[in-house]
Amino acid sequence: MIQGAGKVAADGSPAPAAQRGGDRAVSVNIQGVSKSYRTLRGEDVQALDTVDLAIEPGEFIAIVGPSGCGKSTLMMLVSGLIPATTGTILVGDTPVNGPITSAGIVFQRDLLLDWRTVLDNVLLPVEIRKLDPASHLQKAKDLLASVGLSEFEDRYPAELSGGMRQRVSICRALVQDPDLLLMDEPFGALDALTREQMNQDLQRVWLRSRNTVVFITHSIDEAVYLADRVIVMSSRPGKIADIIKVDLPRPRRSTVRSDKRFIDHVEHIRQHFMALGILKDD
Amino acid sequence: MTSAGSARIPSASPNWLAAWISRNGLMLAIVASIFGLWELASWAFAVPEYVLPKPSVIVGTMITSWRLLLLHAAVTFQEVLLGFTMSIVIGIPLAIAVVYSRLFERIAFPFMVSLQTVPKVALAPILVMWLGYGIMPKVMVAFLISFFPIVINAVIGMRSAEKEMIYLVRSMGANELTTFIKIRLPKALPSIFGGLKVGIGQAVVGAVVGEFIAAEYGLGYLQLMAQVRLDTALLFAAVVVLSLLGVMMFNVVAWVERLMLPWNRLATGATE
Repeated sequence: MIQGAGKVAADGSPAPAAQRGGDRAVSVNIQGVSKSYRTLRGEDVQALDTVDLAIEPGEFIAIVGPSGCGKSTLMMLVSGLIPATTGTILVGDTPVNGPITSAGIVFQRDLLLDWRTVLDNVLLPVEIRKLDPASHLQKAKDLLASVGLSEFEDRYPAELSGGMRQRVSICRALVQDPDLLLMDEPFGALDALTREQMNQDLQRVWLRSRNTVVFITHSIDEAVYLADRVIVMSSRPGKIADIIKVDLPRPRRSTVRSDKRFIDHVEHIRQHFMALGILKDD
Repeated sequence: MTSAGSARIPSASPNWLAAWISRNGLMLAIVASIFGLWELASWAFAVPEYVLPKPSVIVGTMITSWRLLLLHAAVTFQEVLLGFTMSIVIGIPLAIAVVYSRLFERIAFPFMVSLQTVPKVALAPILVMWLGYGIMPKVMVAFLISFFPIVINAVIGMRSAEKEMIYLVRSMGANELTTFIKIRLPKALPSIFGGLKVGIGQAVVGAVVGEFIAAEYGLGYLQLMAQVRLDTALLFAAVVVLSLLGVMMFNVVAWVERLMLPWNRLATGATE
């Protein structure tokens, strides 16, 4: 598999951190999962049609689709924060029944706590999970350093830009070495340039941690740049329309966007959305 | 109060004084010129003392009657403090109950909101009838009047945590207590302090109204006495002391807020 190839390459170079992260990563198996909910007016709405998806340990999955295709719902189901209507989800060998605490989550809103400094925000999961503070303090500082925020450790979130804040929230999700990283349009609120930089930063951090990632986005470009496999979803009710393997070597530089294969993948996904009537030409 | 504050500072730090003057100088100048005009106009138009005493006469009365003013101010202060403390001690737990219990939310909260429309001042005579002439009826009016802004702001604040934020800490394995201590309560603090700032001003009003109805001590009582004796200067002096009392208590709340929430001025963009 592509993902396997990536790991061999990483193991070939001296990267003990990558190996450890890879070992800790979990598989995610989504089997016959659907979700419907009742609106305030009492109508039943199917947010997600039956979805089957097997995600390998250490795989980076991006899910693209139009608004309302249930991609966020799918992520919430995997996190166990909302229950599925039908089907089962296995994270590793464990079925998901209620919130799983082994995952790191990043939402579109950075959700930093205004009253905590940057460093204390990153350490929030350590505090809540009652992990050893001493060992994680260094981890938190290393993470912040890796995204260029060392000087901001003692600042309050209000003093940071949108991109910096989202970097902090990613560090917070990674501080406890999660097996699984769930990201729901984490860069959706950022400007295009910041977003491209964030993609690079995320890839760099992930190449070190190598956990399993489910990354929700509505940017085709972002999905192809980051993912090992891109899941294309169609809407109402949401279901998987196609799965595309992205066989570009890592680390991917920002110039990869002009690579023929990159362009082909983006074009392929765009065709999907045109066929589905989500994108239309005049 | 302000002059005492500035007199203390210069020897320690002249820069501090300069900063203080540049910040408050304009306001001081405006206040000073209003009093100057007042003084001048009372003199020029020979306004009788019992209608409108000159500022200088009011200050004179404050100096000569300081013991009397202080005695009554202490009683009013005590009533406000007790009523306000009661509001916090009862109001905050009640707000927590409203946020966490569906029963409280459905029954107690609408009840409280409808009770808020009752003019608390109108309850003062009833409270006097029940509780007598001591400080208790005044404490109760101060409590009733400052209670609602405190509860309502606390409820709004504790509900202001984003749904995703709650999801996030749940996924970290937080239980309800941890979520409350780490997220809901700190998130609510700016709103709670907003309620406290409204409440403390209201509590002063409540105590004085209580004193108007029936009292033996307090600045409201002193005003009634001064009115009967046509001692307009003392009447004004009582107003000044009452304002100072209110401003002082408000500033104590604001000071505690700044101490507890140093981050809040950054988050709201309010810088000095």
